[in-house]
Amino acid sequence: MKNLLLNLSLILALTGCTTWNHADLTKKTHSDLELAATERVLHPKHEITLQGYYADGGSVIFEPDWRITTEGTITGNMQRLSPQGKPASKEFALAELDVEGIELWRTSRNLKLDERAFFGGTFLMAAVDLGVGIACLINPKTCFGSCPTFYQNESDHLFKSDAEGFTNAILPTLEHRDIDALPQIMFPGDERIVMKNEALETHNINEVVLFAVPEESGSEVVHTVDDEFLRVQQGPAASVVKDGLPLEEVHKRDELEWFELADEKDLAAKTHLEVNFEASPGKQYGVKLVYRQTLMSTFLFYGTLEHMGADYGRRMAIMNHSDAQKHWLLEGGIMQYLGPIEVQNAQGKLLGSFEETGPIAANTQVLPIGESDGHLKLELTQGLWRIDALEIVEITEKVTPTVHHITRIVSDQQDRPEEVALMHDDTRHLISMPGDARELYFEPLEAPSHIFLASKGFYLEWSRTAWNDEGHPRALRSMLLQPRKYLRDQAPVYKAYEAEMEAKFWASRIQTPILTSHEK
Amino acid sequence: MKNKFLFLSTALLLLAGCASTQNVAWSNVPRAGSENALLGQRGALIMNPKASNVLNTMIGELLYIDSSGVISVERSAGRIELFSPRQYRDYKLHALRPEVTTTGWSASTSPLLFFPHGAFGLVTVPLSIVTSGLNLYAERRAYGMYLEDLPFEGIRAHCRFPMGIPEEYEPTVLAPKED
Repeated sequence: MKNLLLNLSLILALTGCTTWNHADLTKKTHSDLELAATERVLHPKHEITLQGYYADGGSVIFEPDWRITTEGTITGNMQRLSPQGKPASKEFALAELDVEGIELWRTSRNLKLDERAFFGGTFLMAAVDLGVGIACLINPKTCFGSCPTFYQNESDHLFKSDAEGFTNAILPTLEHRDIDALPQIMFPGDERIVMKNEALETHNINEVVLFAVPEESGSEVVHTVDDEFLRVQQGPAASVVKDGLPLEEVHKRDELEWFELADEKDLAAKTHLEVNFEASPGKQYGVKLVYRQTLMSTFLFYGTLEHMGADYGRRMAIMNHSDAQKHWLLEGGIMQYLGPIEVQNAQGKLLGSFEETGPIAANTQVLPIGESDGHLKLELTQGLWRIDALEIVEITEKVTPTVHHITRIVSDQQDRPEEVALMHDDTRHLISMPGDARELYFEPLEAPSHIFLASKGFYLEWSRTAWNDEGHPRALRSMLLQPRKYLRDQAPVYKAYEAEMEAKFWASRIQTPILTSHEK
Repeated sequence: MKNKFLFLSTALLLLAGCASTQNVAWSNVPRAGSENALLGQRGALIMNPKASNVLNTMIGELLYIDSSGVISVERSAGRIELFSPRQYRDYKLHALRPEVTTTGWSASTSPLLFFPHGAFGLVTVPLSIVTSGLNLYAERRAYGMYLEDLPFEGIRAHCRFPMGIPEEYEPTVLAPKED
């Protein structure tokens, strides 16, 4: 009897460990071929078949060797199927297909061996986090949007906003001023910015001003990581290398960003870039970086809130008055392991770092490094950053910008003088609710100028109905007490989320303003 | 006696295997990692994990989802039935099933262990049944996703007919039942 119980327990334990669990969509539909092709980018190690459907339901299916030609056709081993899914021929045959008439694409991805078995406990957490991930897919703004977004030109693409204000200020006591460079020269008479609230948040805006420095031919004005303004000119060409291979994407600002997928086992794993340039003695150099974060920071932030569950409000209220907890949130805990983009010299000495947070708007900043021997190294967390451009600039002088305050606010096609008054009163805040959009007009410029937008305030994240449960106290405790282990445990969960998010990131075309109601 | 019983058991098992003629069956779901998972045209299976009969949780094969989220499902009886999002919120979608397991046959053949194991069968038969039962439990839940958690486009990708059910395929359609 004792042996029977022992054997039963052993089998139960083994069965528990070998439960087959996997929660991910292996088939996806796509409205165009380019989106279907992103599946391969996201899953380079998987076999992916492609099926194109015509309006009558008939289709063609390609084996995993398909490729898109420069003429926009597809070549590969293919088979035609009737509307009922019956093959027209027994075998697949190599052919080239004109995609005209195909209305829907479907990709199918197979699971690799290591994906097919999940330990039950891991799956449980993965399912919860994936559930949130899917909710994010359904309504991306609820997850991606954060803090006020600013647009210099008309655009409704969240990921092409020109600046995002006070990203870290999620509590009243974290209110601070955030300065972002706007990408385009502003001309006199054109002193207008659009400010939107595109997330389920209440924005409390204390101030928005423009810093302006007149444009001079052959130079540009940049914002440093220490909130200073420098006039610089183009420096020597930099070659950026990773693992011996040059990174072409970072040569110039062209919205073609370099980024890596996160490490499969550790979200805090570091990666390194080598930067080399021909330095001249006596010159003062700076590293100019155009960068933003990937969606990893969003994932971890919302994961923290989800772990709090229905206790979210109480915990945030406590955090608001606890310096220790605020330190944990912004600099301690998992943040100390994720870290900024560090710039080191050839001897490994830290020269400074870039640490602007947020995945939406790209930041342009300069880190002054003084004289240099032309050899630098960047250390950054793998999968946390996107870099559009890395350039070396020569610093010519420090400049003091002129300050331009708001003179007029228009929302819903009506002037709002009362809101202008709020923005001029340092003790009060303009409240911006989800879906709000305002045109901000500023004091006139005297000449075409480089513009930097400074915003001050804080925002309150709305609690989601999905968080109205007990949360995940164990995960929260792990995050608090064992942040290093937590980042390793979350790696497989994030990898599942990352694959979906990257596809959506590039496909996202948000057309409608968000409503003030809670999502499901 | 022993040989006759073995012969009868084997014959019954073979017949049971041959009798799986249903259009909608668990075996329609491709195995994870197989070529069929990439090239197969069958729709995912819809299961009701809260079904009162735990041995029959299958609703049917997913054929189509329209823009309002109503899904068309082919039932094992050979008819097409429609379900609104409210009706299928507790249902699960199974697009894959695990690799070969002993689930399908080991439970039913467990009593045969008495023949090779003799008196030890008193221990090994219950163990085999328990193991098979847990395997079955695991297999029927592996790769399952709640429909409520999936975007319509995600469900559409797993339909047998993502562009719509061909007219000639439509035997009988039952409208969604009132909630």
